[in-house]
Amino acid sequence: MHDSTGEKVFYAINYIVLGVIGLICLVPLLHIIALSFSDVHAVRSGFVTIFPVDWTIEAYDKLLQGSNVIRAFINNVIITVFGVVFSMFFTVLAAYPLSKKHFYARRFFTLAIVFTMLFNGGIIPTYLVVKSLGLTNSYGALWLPGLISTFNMLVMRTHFENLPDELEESAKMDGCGEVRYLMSIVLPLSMPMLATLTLFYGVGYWNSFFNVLIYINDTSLYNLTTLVQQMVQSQSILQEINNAISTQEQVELTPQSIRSAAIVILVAPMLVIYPFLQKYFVKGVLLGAIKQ
Amino acid sequence: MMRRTIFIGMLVMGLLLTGCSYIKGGGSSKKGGDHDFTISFYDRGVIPKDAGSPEDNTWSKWIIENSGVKPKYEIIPRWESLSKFNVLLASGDEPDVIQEYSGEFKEDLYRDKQIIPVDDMIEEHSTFYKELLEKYPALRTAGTKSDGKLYEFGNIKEMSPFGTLFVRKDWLDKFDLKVPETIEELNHVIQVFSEEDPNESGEDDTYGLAIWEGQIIDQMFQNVNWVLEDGKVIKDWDRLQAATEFKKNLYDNGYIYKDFLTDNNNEKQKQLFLQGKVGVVTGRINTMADYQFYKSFRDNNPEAELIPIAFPETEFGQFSPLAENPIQMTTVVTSEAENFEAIMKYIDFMSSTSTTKALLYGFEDEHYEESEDGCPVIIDEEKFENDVSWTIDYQMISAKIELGECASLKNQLDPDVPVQKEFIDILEKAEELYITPERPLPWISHREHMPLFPKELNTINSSVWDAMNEKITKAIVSGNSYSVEQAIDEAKADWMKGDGDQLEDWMEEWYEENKDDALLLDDFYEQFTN
Repeated sequence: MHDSTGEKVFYAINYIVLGVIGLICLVPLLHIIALSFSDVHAVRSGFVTIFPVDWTIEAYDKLLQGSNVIRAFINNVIITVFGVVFSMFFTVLAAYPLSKKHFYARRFFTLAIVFTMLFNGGIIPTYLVVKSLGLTNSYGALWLPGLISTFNMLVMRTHFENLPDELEESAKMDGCGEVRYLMSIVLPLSMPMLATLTLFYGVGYWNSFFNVLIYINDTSLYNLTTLVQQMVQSQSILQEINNAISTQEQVELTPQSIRSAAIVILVAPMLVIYPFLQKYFVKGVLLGAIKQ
Repeated sequence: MMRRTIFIGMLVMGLLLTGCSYIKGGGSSKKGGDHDFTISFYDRGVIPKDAGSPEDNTWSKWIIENSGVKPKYEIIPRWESLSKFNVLLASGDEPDVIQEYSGEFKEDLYRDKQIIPVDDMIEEHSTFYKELLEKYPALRTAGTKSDGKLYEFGNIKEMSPFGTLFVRKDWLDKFDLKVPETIEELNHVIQVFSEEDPNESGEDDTYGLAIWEGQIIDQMFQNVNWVLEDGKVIKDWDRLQAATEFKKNLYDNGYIYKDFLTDNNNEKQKQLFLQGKVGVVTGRINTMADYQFYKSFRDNNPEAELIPIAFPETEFGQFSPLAENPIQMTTVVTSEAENFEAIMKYIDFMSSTSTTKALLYGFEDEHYEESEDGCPVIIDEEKFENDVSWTIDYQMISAKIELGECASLKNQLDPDVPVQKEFIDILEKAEELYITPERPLPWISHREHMPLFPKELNTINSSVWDAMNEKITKAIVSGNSYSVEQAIDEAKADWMKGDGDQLEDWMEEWYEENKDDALLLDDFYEQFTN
């Protein structure tokens, strides 16, 4: 079907405007990348816009030598990879039974689980609970309390529900067990949805900052997000007024070039992974939205 | 098909089990373990990787070896210190000794009875710190709380300049202007710098004034909220009006960077200054990083000459910018602490002259050598940078005053290097201009020693403060449609509505009761200047 000229013009203008807006969104990121590759003096004097001035990798050098960036990065990877594996594993195990209509107390369990979405204990009670479980200062505190995101689990459950019953019946007729059915038929068919949820969990774990801050005491276990936050944090005027900072320490801000380098290292993995999972993501957003 | 399933299954199981190994039953080892007590320590990301980690590094090892006690350092991220402390306190995990700059936070600890008085500890176990208290009575006054007992330990140093009003002398000379001594003269100088193209770029790209650091304009007008008039402490409005009109004038005429109110960390204005586009700048001269900033400026502008000048005289008097707080209370002992002897030994050690010298300069012949005038001189810059430059968080109770001038920034600079000599001259001139009771600090005490409102009044204070600020900001940026008088009138109304008069009453009462005992401005000039 051919578009009329009017429609062609419309699409063209649409693409151009949206494209320009999209590129504009990139500018701050390009600026930070440029800062990280520019000479310290140029950065301080404000000569850098979106291209590096006096190209140098000194900032990255200093960063890698002078601070625990590599270890923090590895910690980040550990937290994310294992966190995602744990979360996905248990989310599947939770969603699958809940999707079976013949599950005995299905409604009760579903309601009980949804209830947790509405209420939250608050920081201090949660901390006390985690502490009483002996999980402080270990990654368990990051993985276990938030192991299954109820929202994600419900999305998964809806998707499982939407698989045709006939599929299960015919598999059962051929003597397929429950576990085998789950692993060989249901999961492969749900790949787009699984990829999307993996991405959601992954980004969540990659960016975990506040939890690391309050639960982890050992600096060797810090993740990159917290490390970068330390560097990027700027003192607010209010802090200065309230004398929460001493005059001497107001200067211990990390140079902007190093801060930018740290931000680039933090953001890069996510930027790299997103395009690959892009196609799943687009399909996945619509999942759970349509019920057959 | 089956094999692939089993393979995936094993992979997942393997990952799960490996992950489980990261879930150690951590928890905190407050009691038990081989340490004498626990103490908080900031992590601000400055410790070089090779030196170790915040909890265990070359200096913490040195301290344990030489002090005779074994502290365990609980690491607190510097910029989230209050949230972390609150979580630890709520769960009973707090360290025995807390070191934190925020006065309000320590006041809250006192009010919630989470810290204990230290008079007995000092009496029974202390050597050096006890002597310091005798020598510098202000140290005791500053750490005493409203029940008359001593709660806080602190560090003590000479009062040196911090905020500075800089002017480009080369631009003054170019237009045959003299150093401005009144507000009118200052305004005139700023106008000339803004409009008459002093950097000869052919474009209208210069600014009369830029803010590199802090609220120096407000300090110039004594716009500090609470002032002494006729022997009583009152809430000031006149100075607020004068300061706001000054800022409005700058904004309306384009003499200052348009977005100066939202310039985060003054980044943009700092850059403008470094690019040589600013004539008057409110800055700071307190640490090596400030020197580096000055050096960048000189590298970019080799013919420029920057000098500090005294605050111009105003109708309210002539003042000086914020100076370093000579007495800083930092350390308190929490209610669960037990090993008082060890804690006191640690504090004595950390405040002692030899430790202070080591933390500031490193070790003799390795990092520094003694010179004829008695102060250490750094011999190996790079080694110093790697080994010693990051010890700031260990200096929270250092008695730098015992080292005299040797502890100042001046001593870290080398007069044989021209740029460093310039900066030394600036430091000396600033000392002469700003550390004198003839041009006093604008507050009734040092800013960091102003009294703290009780909890109930704190909420009132923040909300009226916000309301006032809103009106002031509006007055500055709204041009002709909203005048400063209007803003002040409306702010006064908001103040009354928001129960600001309760704050006034409390302040008046506080001053009446405490004016003889508390640390007020005169005490600082008496005890900390020569």
